[in-house]
Amino acid sequence: MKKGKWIGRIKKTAALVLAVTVLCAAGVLTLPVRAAGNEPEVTALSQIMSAKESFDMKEMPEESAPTLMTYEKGDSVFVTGETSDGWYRIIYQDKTGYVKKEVLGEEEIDIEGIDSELAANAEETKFVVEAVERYRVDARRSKIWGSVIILLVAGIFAVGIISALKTQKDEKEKNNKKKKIQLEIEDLDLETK
Amino acid sequence: MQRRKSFAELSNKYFVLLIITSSLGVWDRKITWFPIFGFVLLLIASVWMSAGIIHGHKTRRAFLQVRNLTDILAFAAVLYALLSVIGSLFRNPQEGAIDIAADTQTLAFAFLYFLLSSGIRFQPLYFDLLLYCGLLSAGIFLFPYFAGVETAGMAGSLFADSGAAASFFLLFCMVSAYQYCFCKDKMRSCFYLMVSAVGFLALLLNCNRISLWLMAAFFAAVPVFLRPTASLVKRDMQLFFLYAFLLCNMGLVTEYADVIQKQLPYSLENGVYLELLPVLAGLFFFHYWEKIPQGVDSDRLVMRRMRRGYRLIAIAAVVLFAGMILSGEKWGLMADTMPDRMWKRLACALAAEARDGTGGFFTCFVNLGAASGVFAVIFCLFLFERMRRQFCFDRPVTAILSLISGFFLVQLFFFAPSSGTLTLYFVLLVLAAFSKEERIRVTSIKLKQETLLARYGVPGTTETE
Repeated sequence: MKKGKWIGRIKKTAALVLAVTVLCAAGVLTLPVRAAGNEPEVTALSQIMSAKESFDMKEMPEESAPTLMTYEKGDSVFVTGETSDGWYRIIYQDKTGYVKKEVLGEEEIDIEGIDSELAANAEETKFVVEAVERYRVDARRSKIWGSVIILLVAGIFAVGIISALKTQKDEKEKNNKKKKIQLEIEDLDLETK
Repeated sequence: MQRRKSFAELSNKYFVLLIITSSLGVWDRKITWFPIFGFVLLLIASVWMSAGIIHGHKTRRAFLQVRNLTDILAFAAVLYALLSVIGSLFRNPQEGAIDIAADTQTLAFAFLYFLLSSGIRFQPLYFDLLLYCGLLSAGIFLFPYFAGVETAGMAGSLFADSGAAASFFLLFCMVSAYQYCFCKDKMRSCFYLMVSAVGFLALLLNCNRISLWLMAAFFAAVPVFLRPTASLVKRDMQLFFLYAFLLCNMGLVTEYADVIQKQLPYSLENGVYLELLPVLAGLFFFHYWEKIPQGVDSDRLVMRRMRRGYRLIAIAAVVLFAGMILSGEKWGLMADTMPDRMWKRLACALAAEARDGTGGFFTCFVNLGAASGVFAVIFCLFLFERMRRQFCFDRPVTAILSLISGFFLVQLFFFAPSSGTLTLYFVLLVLAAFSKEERIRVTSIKLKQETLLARYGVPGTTETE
């Protein structure tokens, strides 16, 4: 009886240990542990900030992470997110990196300036479009008039050459007629003699 | 005889080549110091000259001989040009120091003088060739005015300045006008009319006021220098009305129609005043034209009284022209009323153009020196005197050559023609001075108006008994 009790207790303990082990293993797989290559949790943001001092853009939100590029003081930075541990996620062209929050400050955006710059750009674009349109019209007109002049000169040439050939032909016919008449007269003279 | 005939045929071919080259080579271009057109001209003239000397040797007739004072001057020019060329070539060659353009052209002109004065017969074909080649140049000239400034480079290389262009188109228009006036064939007349229209347009777009004035004077001079038959006068007036129509409407075309791509100094107001000119000319012309009865052969009816009228107009035009130029800017003191304003603008602009232009004689003096300039003037005077002696109503070709040469000599006071145009004018001047055209025997009878009416009936009726 006592032996059986101990075997039972040992079995229960082994099952308990096994269960804990299984549970722990499952927990390891599911716990949000930061492993190498995994994206950190980032809260999305969308704002432009400016650098208070020069800093390096890191590949990951860690001091030891490799540097992707360096920013100088005063550079504008586009922030796309922030982490919970004091890092900003920033983006430049096709590169995404991380930077400490304290090196960036709010950028004062001159909205009026941007509006006027956009308006000036729009005017300039409109002007460029009009100039291109005008150039296209001029080029089309130039082609048409060029063709007209070439056709006119060619037409006058053709008339001149045709009329010259016609005049030559008429003169030849006239000369032949004259010769024929002269020969007939000579024949008549011979006959009468 | 056969040898003479073959040299005449050869001369004809060389002359055709000369006209084509000169009509197409209206630009003055050099490769560094080497003048292209001058060299080509000298080559043609030298080869032709060599053929002439060989022919003279074979026929045992002296080809080069001193017959008159102009021949001596021509020999002197040859000697001077040769020495100058040799001197230039042996000079220390610095960059741009060698300039033999004028010397090669002088040499070529001297050779052409000997060749043309030896008795080459002028044929109507030569005028036609000039027109065909000139039409190409005119077409290229019109491009930038209608098609835009992108083609300006092509036309800009054609003429040195507006004076050179004016000189060429003046010749082009005078020749086409003459051919139109004397052409009997309908289709050929259409061709000459179209060519004249193109020439007038080119002349008007060039905007050289002196050339416009000279062209108008040419229409008045034609019935004076040529036998003023009814058909000649009719055709001359048709061309004058075409010219006046284009001139008066240039203001409308430049200010209101978006056709011409360059800024031209024509104003609509002046165009309205100029409309009065063809109106007055029409009144004068139709007053006499209505007196001609129907059925009269217009080639045989000579309008002497109309010729007197044209002579008065031509003299008035010359006097007004000279007055405007000699008085200069003083015309600006005139009042600002309607007709005075137009006269003031016309006179001041004409005087300013005459003052600012560099004439051919002036260019000769500046580029070749005082001695060469005086030599050129004396040579032209001798040729003019010879031409005046050759002039006769019974030689229509000589008459038109003399008229064109006269206009050329007047032009030389106001603008300098390009090398090609100068060659053409020189050739026509020598041909006019040494023409061997046979006189057309003409028997003329004076008919009173009553006799004409009795013979042909009252104008407007078909037949009278």
